[in-house]
Amino acid sequence: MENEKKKESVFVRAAKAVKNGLKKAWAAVKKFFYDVSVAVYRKTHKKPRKIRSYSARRRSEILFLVCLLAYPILIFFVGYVYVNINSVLLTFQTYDIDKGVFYWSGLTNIKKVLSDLISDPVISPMFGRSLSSYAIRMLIGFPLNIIFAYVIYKKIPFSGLFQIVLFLPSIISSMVVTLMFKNFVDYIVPAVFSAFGMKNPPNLLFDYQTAFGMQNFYTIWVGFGSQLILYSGAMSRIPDSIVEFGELEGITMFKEFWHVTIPMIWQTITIFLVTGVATIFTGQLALFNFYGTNAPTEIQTIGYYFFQRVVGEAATYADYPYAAAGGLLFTLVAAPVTLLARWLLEKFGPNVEF
Amino acid sequence: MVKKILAILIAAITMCAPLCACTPQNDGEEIDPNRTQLYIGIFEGGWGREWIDEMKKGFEAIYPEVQLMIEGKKDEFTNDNLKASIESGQYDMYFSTASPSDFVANESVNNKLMDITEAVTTPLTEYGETRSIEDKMDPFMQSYMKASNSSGKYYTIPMYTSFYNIVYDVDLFENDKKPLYFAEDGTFTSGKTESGAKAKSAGQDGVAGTYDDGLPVTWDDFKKLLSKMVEYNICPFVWGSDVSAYRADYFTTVWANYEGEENFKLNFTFDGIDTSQAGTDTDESGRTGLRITEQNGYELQKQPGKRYALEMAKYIINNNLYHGESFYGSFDYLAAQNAYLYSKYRESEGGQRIAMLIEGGWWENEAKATIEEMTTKYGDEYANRRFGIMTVPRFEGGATEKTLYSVTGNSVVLIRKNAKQPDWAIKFLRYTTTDENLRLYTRMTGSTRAYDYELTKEDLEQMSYYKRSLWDIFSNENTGLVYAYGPSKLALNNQSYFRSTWNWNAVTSTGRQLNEPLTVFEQYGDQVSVDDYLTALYDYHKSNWNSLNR
Amino acid sequence: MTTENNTCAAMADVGTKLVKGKKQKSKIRKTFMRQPFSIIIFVLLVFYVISFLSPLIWAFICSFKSRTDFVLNKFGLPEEWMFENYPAVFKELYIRVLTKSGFKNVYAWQLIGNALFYSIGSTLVTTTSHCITAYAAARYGKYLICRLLYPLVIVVMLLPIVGSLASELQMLHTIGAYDNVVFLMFMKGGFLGTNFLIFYATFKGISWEYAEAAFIDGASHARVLFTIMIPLAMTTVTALALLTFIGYWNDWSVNVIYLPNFPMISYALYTFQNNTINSISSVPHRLAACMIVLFPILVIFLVFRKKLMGNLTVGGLKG
Repeated sequence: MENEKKKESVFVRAAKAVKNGLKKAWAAVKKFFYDVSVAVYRKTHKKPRKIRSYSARRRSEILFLVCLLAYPILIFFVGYVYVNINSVLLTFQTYDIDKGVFYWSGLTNIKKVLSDLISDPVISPMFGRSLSSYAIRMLIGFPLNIIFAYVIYKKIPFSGLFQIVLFLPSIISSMVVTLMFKNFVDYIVPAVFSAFGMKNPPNLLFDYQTAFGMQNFYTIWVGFGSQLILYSGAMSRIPDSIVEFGELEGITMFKEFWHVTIPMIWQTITIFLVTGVATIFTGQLALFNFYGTNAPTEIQTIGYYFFQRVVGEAATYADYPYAAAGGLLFTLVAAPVTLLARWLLEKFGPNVEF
Repeated sequence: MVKKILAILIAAITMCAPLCACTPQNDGEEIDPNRTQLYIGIFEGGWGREWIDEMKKGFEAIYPEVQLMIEGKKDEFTNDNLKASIESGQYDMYFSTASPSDFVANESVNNKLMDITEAVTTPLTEYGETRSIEDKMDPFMQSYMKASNSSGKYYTIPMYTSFYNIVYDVDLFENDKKPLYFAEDGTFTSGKTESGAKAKSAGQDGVAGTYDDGLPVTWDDFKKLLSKMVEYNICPFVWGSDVSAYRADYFTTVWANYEGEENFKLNFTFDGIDTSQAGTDTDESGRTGLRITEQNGYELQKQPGKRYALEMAKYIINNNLYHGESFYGSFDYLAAQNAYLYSKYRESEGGQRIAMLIEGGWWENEAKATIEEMTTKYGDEYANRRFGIMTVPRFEGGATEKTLYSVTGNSVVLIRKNAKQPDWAIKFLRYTTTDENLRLYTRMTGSTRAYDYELTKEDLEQMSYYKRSLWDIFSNENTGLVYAYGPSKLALNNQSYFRSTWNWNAVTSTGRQLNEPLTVFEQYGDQVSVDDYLTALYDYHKSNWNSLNR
Repeated sequence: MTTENNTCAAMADVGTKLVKGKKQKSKIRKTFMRQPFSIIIFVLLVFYVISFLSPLIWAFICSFKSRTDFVLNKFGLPEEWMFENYPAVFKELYIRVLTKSGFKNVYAWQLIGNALFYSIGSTLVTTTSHCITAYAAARYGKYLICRLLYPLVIVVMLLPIVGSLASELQMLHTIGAYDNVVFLMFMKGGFLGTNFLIFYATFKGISWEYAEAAFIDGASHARVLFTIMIPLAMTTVTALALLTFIGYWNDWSVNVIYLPNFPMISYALYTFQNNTINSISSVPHRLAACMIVLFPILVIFLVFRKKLMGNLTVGGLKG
């Protein structure tokens, strides 16, 4: 008994020590930045500032932007453009295995991708699946995400627990989550089905009729984390006065959610709607986690198909141009759609600045 | 609340610390400044690395001035990662699982490897032998290694040979009350003649005392065996769901056996007469059949052996002759090995024993820890268990001269072009192929290498029953290894296509993807029949034929 | 009647600028169970928690089983609690690296330290880069280069990159960033990705009036950015920085491809999971390894949970 008490006090002491340490460290960091800013202020405010001319202001603005952007843009050119220029060029090339070189072949790859998308019995349904899984994400996952963020922001009972659990899938390595989920569906779910008297419980992840549904479920199931944070972050920035005004009027939670919260976080919502467009073409569900590069074609999406054309076991240099052509083609479709979506959302959405 | 949790967590960390800090650790291997270092990378998979550690000892004893620095990795030392890093990496030499043409058929990668022709063709006199590496090398492998580049040079030599097979539990088959071996008269026997049971039949090779004694010869025998198992409440098969390639390759073996060596090899040479198909073409040795060339190679999809292999798969699925978890996503190859091994214990608790496992030759190494734990837990009867290799059933009308095992793994030894210690790398390359080290390799891993060498009686005594069976197949003259890849230009230029897609992959007219017989029949049930599968194979590969690289 | 009183009280609080979190909560709690909308959501959330926690708890329990126990009894409690799984795994979570003085085994503590160093450093570089680029794009639209940034990011997000690994490695070798952790961190300074877009939206959403007021007072551009705009966007900055950190922490492929001699804990977990011959390659051992790697990140998450989300964050007008 006494021992336990001792142990507990050790816990508590350890916790306190660490907490104090963190506090002190934070204070020191704050103080440091404060000192720096004071020093900077003193430096820059020695002389009373003159009112500068327009061109001088302009020059300083440009200098400021150069300072901001120089490094990121440098990295962009070195780390992206330089490295990947080949990838775009591949679109118009074909690989000659005999000589081990790529040669120019015009639009052959683009034509092949187009004809595959339109008429190939395996590839053409993938496009439909990509669209339907996008729709499922948008119609189920997306609203649920906002609603969950909202009820947590409203501090319903156990909201702290909900918050933690909803976020867990994002911090646990996908290797682990997949492992857990597979075992759970393979062993527990059939046991539950049998308990309810079902004779031959389905192998949900293997039967192609159910596997696609499971993939969509899984994607939504593990997909709450980051968006949830950003929505609740945005919601916490809604001025209390607006919320309280609504409460004074006695509106229901749903009404408040619909008429107050949504418009107030519209900027954040926009960003996910806009970036979401690209996932029609790039979305892979969790196929790679579950099946590696050998997912059954009945459940493959366009994004996965092109991905595994490049990294799959059977991938060779000869597959690169095809995948590159697909990518370029999708970009040509998705980029304008994305920009259009952004324009529409910004123009017609409830744009509230606060 | 959160504070409490935190406090507990932090306390837990502090408690862990002493526990981990003071453990004695082996801290790797330090560079000896007085010696020259040769860096070697090995693909450390199921065969392990003990064999190369052993060779390191031997090599360093002969050449005390050199220190071998050996690193075992998986992803880093194979395929694209290796291709990308070989030039700038720290290792001079690799024992990798990659196909030679992954490296040499492509000129740009070819330039990254050292030309080792001289080392391969010079006799190994410094180790007291008269033959060169090339002299020992399997003739097929000689042509394959050279054919994968245009100059006829050696850039790689073969590492190990391996084939997928059906593993069976010898102890289970020898059960006195429920015996599963065949006697010569077709009845079942335990084969224990000393306790009065009938002797086992001579098996497919007709020679008593070899690995296939008492095992089924024909598919009819095999079916009889399967129904006997069901009668005894034994589950015939188990396999890991994640390794569909193992299963596909097993059925390739079944197909190859029906065709016989000559006909099957056409799948990778595309030059000759297919006698299993109707035709009027003849070759110089008077064989009649359909002439196969690079133009009509897709006709090989009509080889009748494919039908029999598919019928075998369909039979296994339709009669539910497999462990119920075999298609679960989480039931990987390790889980399958465990289920297989533990079924013996489960039987003692009223569960079902599993008779056979579809696996690669290395599985026993992978399962070592499980076997050890079972032994400590349940006693010595779980130690030194005996596992054998099942014969490949023969079908009516099929070839009968030899039992063939189709080798599908690719693995090579290579030295990079800009090696820092090229001379030592070549010395070690030659050292690993001396007769003594070839034996050492097989003795320690059970795997074989595609060179001509013999094991001694002492070697065999050190090996497990299963490893001896592997050797038996390698060295028995009534069995043969056929390589499911080949030196034809078409096959080399479309490596991945002929390595994986060609055998069992197809798409039906309704867009169903077929990849491995057992999975297909389980997944689609009655929607895909054997005929549908065959039609799809033919149509699919015919339509692909013109788009292959030539 | 009571509700009215409460609202009045709340109103009074607003007037006197007092903190009112607790009152608000109690009011919502009272009305909560009467609203079908919230009840449905509540039930959904409860199901979610069960569906996620039960496999997690299963995994946790299994990590204490022996190999045999796991094979024979997948779902019960352990027959015998194998606490020694954890130290055993902790000992085996090591990576051999090649240094100038030979092969050296890097053990778990150092792997964790390495991971912290790499993840924190990369997070700082990435987040700063995203943040300032997005700021320029959102607020200096009169310059063409700033206007181009947004569409550029969108296009790059859509363009898949095929087979650029070799050329990327070549580039890293040329500039000396290969296998150099500090250099590699600074290579993370690009601005592409969703985070850019989120920052962009954040800065678009913050009223420019403060900045204008500051400019009139004679503040410089840098001052406006660092003392006004970034503090206003602090919610987003913290949240994204933490998410980025977690991403780097869990990424094992970086060791395979770029940093062979600076091993980190997630890579050790990865090789551990793929181990085929090791005596500790059983599922319970693998799960124990997962738990060990999960643990630090869970602590960080719990410590920073309130910074990460929730209503106490300082941001926007409230700050």
